[in-house]
Amino acid sequence: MNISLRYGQLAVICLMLTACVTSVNRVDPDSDIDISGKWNDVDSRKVSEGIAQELFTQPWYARYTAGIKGRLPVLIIGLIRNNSNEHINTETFTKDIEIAIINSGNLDVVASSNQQALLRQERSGQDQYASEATRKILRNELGADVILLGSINSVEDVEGRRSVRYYQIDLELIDIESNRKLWIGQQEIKKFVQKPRVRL
Amino acid sequence: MIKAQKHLPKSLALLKWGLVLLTCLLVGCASTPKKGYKNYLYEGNIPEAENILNGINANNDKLLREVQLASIAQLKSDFKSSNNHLETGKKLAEELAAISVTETLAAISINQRVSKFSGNRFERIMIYFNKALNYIASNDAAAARIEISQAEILMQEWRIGVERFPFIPLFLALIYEKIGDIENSLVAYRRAAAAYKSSESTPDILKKGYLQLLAKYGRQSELARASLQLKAKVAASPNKASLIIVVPRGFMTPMDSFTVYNFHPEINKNFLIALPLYSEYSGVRAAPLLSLKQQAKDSANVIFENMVNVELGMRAALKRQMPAITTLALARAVVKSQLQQQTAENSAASFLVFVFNTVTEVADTRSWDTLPQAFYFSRLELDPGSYSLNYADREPMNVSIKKGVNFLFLPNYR
Repeated sequence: MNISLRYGQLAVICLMLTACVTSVNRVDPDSDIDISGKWNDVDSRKVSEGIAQELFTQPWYARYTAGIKGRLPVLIIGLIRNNSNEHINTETFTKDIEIAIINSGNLDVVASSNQQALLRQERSGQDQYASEATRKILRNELGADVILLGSINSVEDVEGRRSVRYYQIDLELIDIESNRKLWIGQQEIKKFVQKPRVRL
Repeated sequence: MIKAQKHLPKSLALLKWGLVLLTCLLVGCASTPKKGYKNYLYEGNIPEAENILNGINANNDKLLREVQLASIAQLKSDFKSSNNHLETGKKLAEELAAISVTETLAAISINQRVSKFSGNRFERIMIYFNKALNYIASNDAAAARIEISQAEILMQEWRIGVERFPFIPLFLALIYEKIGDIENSLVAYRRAAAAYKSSESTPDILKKGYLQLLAKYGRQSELARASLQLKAKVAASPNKASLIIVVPRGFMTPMDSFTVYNFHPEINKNFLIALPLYSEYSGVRAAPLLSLKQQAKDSANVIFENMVNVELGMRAALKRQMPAITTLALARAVVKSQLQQQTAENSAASFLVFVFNTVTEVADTRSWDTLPQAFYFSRLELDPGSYSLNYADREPMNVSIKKGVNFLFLPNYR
């Protein structure tokens, strides 16, 4: 009786000590890990992959490429607004979309407005200081045909320690010359989050 | 021998009283260091206050330390660092929101100070509010909007209405107005108007902002209804810009404690419990004196109103917590009494238990004491342009007012 009680006590102490030690495990970057239930890399990746997949399977793509024979449509990724209730780094999300689109090989993607400003500054510098042989020509940029704009919206239904988090990502592809909306895509994520009532 | 045994309890009782006195003196010495961070803050010596706070071992007070350092960074106008501390504090508070089994057991057997500081509800809302203010000061209204939205979600989690913190939807309305999201701003204004119980208790900043927005966007029927409800009228000023000035004032009164030493008939014992309390409310520091002057025009004094009375909010939060705190203290008294009863036969052990019980019986007076007593707000409708602002002992400040809603956050509690 006494020995089993002591073993029990020892087990409790071991458990408590284990809880105090920081543990680190390498995990696959593509693995789905959710800790707090907030927007994370998994959501960003899944949405961007879904968007890239949907973007080229819709009728606009065939029609548009037929109109500009011999080349791929040129895309610029514009502003994706975060209207959700979380601090979402839209830049990482935008980058995920960019990667998915470039890797598909169906569109040419040009530098974003921020990058363009830097590149233009660099070309102006080259125009003044670089040798003629290596100098890059001004006014020779690839003009974008279409722009991708969007927003991340969220609705959170909370009741006590339980909540349902719903994210709606809306993206619109707009023809820059005509302002015509070519495609509107929507991705949704719904999560049920239950916070613990008790901790050790 | 028998005589000595008879006299022993009496002398022990005397000794007990002596120990109680000594403990009280010791506890008193321990809780009042020579010069604490608050003294330095009152003097305006922020670096020294920061040094002291950084030097105190946080242990169970990590969350408290983060929010205190956040206030200090805010006072230094280092809004980024302040938000880093608040973010860490927010995460800690989320983790600590669940009831801890071990900490509850420790609180029942020792005292509540041995558990981790998790902040009361008012303090938790203040984390989001201050973060939003820091974002506003950093010209990031979109991020401020997220913070206040999260505070509202937290209220839903607690199953409490916005009436408890009516300044939250009001601040959200102002932020939406700043962003230019008129529909959401109106929704937030409506909710804030409903949250304030009467038109008398409704801040002017709400009346002005809400009615002006309705007038500006031609919502005539709602304007008539809202004017009646709020008992206020405004003239539309489409070409004016709005300036919202936010000034925190005073320092939150530190929490005190009181001890109850009484006889309990059910346990047939004397018991000692220590409980936290605030000294009598004597108001908050007056509104700041601030004047604004446009070139070649007379300067005008800015009229402020106390939109967030932190002092009252913190006191109300403690009042709500008191039943739970008292229950825990009584449970602790029973546990300690049982322990003493078990060691009654051994006078040395009984004495040691008595000393332990007395020394450890201290109230949990930890609170976010670097908060200001109040956040004063003022809304002015001005012509866009350049203004000179005179505030306290500072050099006159140049303020550029652009079309739309402009925010000015002046963190100086003194």
